[in-house]
Amino acid sequence: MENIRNFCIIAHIDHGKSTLADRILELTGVIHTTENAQVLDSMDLERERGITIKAKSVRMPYKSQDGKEYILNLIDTPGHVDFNYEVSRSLKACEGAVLLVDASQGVEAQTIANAYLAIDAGLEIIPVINKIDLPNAMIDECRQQLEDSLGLPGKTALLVSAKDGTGVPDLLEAIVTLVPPPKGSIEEPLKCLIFDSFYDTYRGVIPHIRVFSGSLKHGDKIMIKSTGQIHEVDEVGYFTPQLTPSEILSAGEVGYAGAIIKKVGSIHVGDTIISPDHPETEGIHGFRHTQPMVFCGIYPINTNDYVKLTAALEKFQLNDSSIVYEKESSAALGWGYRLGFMGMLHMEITLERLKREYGQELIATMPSVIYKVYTTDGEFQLIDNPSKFPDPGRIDHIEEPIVTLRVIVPNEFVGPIMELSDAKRAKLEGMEHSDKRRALLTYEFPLAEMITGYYDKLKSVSRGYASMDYDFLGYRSGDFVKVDILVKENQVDALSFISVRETAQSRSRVLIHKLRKLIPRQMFEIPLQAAIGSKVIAREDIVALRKDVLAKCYGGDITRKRKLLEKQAEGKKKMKMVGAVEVPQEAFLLLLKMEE
Amino acid sequence: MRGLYVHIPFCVKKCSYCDFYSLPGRLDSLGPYVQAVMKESHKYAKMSFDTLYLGGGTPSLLGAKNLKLLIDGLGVESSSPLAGGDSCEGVRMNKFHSHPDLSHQGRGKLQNNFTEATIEMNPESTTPEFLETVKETGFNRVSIGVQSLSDDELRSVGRIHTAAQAISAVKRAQKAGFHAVSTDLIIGLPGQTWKILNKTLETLVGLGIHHLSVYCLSLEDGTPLAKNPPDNLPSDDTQVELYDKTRTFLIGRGFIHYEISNFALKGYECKHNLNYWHGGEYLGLGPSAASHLDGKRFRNNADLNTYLQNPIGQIEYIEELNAQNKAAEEAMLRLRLLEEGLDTHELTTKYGVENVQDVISRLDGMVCEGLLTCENSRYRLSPSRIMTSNPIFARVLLK
Repeated sequence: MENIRNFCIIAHIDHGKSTLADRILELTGVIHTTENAQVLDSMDLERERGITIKAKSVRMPYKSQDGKEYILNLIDTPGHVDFNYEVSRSLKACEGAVLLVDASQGVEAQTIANAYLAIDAGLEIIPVINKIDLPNAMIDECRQQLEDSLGLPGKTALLVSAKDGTGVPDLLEAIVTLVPPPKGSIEEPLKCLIFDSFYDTYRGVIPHIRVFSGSLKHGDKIMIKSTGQIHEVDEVGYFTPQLTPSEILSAGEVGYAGAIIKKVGSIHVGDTIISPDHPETEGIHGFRHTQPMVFCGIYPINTNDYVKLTAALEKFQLNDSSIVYEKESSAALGWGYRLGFMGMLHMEITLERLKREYGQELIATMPSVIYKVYTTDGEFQLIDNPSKFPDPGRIDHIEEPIVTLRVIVPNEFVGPIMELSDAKRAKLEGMEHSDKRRALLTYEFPLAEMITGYYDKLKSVSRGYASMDYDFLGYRSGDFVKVDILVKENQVDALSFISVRETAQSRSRVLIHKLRKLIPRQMFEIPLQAAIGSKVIAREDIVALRKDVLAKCYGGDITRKRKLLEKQAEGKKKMKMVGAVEVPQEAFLLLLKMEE
Repeated sequence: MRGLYVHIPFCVKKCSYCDFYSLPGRLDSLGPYVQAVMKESHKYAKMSFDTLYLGGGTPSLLGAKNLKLLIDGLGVESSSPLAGGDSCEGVRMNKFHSHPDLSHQGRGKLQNNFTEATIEMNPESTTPEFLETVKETGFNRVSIGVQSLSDDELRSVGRIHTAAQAISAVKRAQKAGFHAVSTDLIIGLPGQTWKILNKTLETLVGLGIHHLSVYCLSLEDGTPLAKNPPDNLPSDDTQVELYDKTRTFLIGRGFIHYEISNFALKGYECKHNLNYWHGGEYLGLGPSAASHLDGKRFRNNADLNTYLQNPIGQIEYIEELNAQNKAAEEAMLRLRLLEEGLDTHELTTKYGVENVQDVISRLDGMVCEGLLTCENSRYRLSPSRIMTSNPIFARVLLK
């Protein structure tokens, strides 16, 4: 156990985490030189966006300069803002963390967030300044920022270029020197942390584990602490990075344990595996069931594709157990699903992956957060879909989720960021200057406002320089109303939205106006209304179609005439019927873009 | 019932709204063209026809000589027995072109073999001489492209005749003693108002025409009008208003609005065109001409040059619908007949219950919405829906 080092690399997005991992894997001989760039990011989307979506870990042999043999376990962490909890679990599996800072960018919002998580987890932190080969590297400033923002020893930070390998051997030496070996005894009862899992078609859910005490081998019985479920282990092993079976996994080691667990929902990140012989063994502190924060409805564009969508989601969830979904039906869109995500980036990525990997054409409705709706009878309901809001007369008050948002931004963009955030009902909690160049703004921010395009706007007003990170703070009451949209007296459930009362009317006017332009003229007049309860707050009318007639039929060219009409008929098929009104698909995407 | 259409794709000048296949400045090809049509007609030598329609383009550009040659040379026969007592002379019109004797007997005259034979004429080429030849060759119906009796309107879309020429053309045709005289009229011409249109209608009806085809001006892709629409084009709303007033006016004068674009005094409906809406058979000769024979719809290439070289090898498109689609198509066509409507009993007899039940349920849905009316098994388009009939027809076809 003395020669095991469990560590992770934490960094802001694009600061070079995956490239550094590649170099380390090469140096330890696990992979050959650049045969495969960014080994740990296997999904196309991960490489494209520079984000690690799925965590992975690798076991590497390492012979230090003084000739001692070590086993290094590099535990990868998901690198996006919606997965704070998952990151914290991965950190929990380690004794040390390499904190990577891009020399040209400096400390960013996620650097800080991740560093705090690592400090909370009691890890040995090794500060590393990466990309020192860049002409605009600001090594001294980075050193200063590490000290000022994080209280870390900036002066001794290692200098590395993950791209060309400079400094990486020294880093490996530092890891074995500075990161403490794991503690815990092989004699004590079994205790393992589940820090990730993946799904294998034949072997079911396979948890990634860190053994804290005891040991695990083929044929052992294990118990999932939170549920009491008992399974029999049929294989243990490590990642090299391929699955490599081994005799035994003992205290201090990192690997996997296969136990033919078929049900995806039965294994949760953060849960503890113990021995059924010692059910009293305490679970590892900090486990919680993650709750999705953002919801949206998804519907197949072609109603007949519902079965395909169902199959796609089932398959999808095997690899991402953090999404939840349930059947939903909309009067306007037919059968679909309501999906819950960890955050808006998670939502974006999931929808993109569903489209790409499963070839699904989808309508995604306006994302919503979970509101706590207190009714007059003293009860409260958690509501993730505006169309499910109780009657306004029954509502006592409503609370919305608030997050703590940290934004790091160069000084010249502070004004625009503050303006943008004010418009989103954000409450400024603090402003610090971690260095001369940049400010750290801390906000109490309504999650509902953050998921409607805030991140994109933040990037655009700061020309890409701002970085952000957030975590859940709590619920806060506010003056909310549900706005319904009526198309020719028929309420369109998929277009209902929740708004602060103050801006409900102006938002409704914008929406109604856009709808008027989008819905084609039909054979009757179509009033479009936005209403709070029975009170109409915005209205426009689409006048009836006056002329659409094929007068000429010359020389009996019936085919041409019929083709024109058939084309029109095809167009109708793509419309969604709301009562007698044909509404194009685009209308349902409107709310997403309403803010633009 | 089977119709024969002959396309005459020549014009002195293209009107700015026109997207039919017709070429200006090719009048030198008239002679060869007539020969080519005769050649194409021989391919269908065993077929008989009830109606003939010479359309264009401008058929009146043929001139007396070419018209005679064409009628003489059509290698087809009419199916109806001779109405006039004049022996068997014209019955087998050149059926066997190789028999010079027979062809000689029928030379230059349709006789009364067709129950209806129409020729389209443009006012400026409706000369007394040509009318005489038209009469002689056996036509009993002329359709004159009047379009408007306002010189401003005519000029605005590039018509090459005046209102006065149009009026005298109609008068000459009346005087020549055809069974029926029809005129075309366009609603929605640049600058058109009800005052102007009303005057045009008054004049035409006053001249004693029997039939009137009324079209709404539409901007067809690629036409000069669509590329440069004038500012004073009446809006859709105005067009609808003009159309409604025209309909009211003509019905008030005893006309029957028997098809979306056609009005006629009782008994003067165009049989050839009715056959289109009844889903009947017809043969079209000439470039771009469409045919419907033996359940197949097909069309010739719209290319005069290739047609002149090889008139019998120009079929560019053949379509054969299954019974269900065929039934839906016929339902859509028959709904254009505002008075006669669509009898679903007849449709069922023709296509079988299994092929019409879906269409009928769609029709019933639209009756409930007030788009169609239904009396027993007869469905009709509600008059108020004429101007928005496309979405209705699209639903008839919607699978």
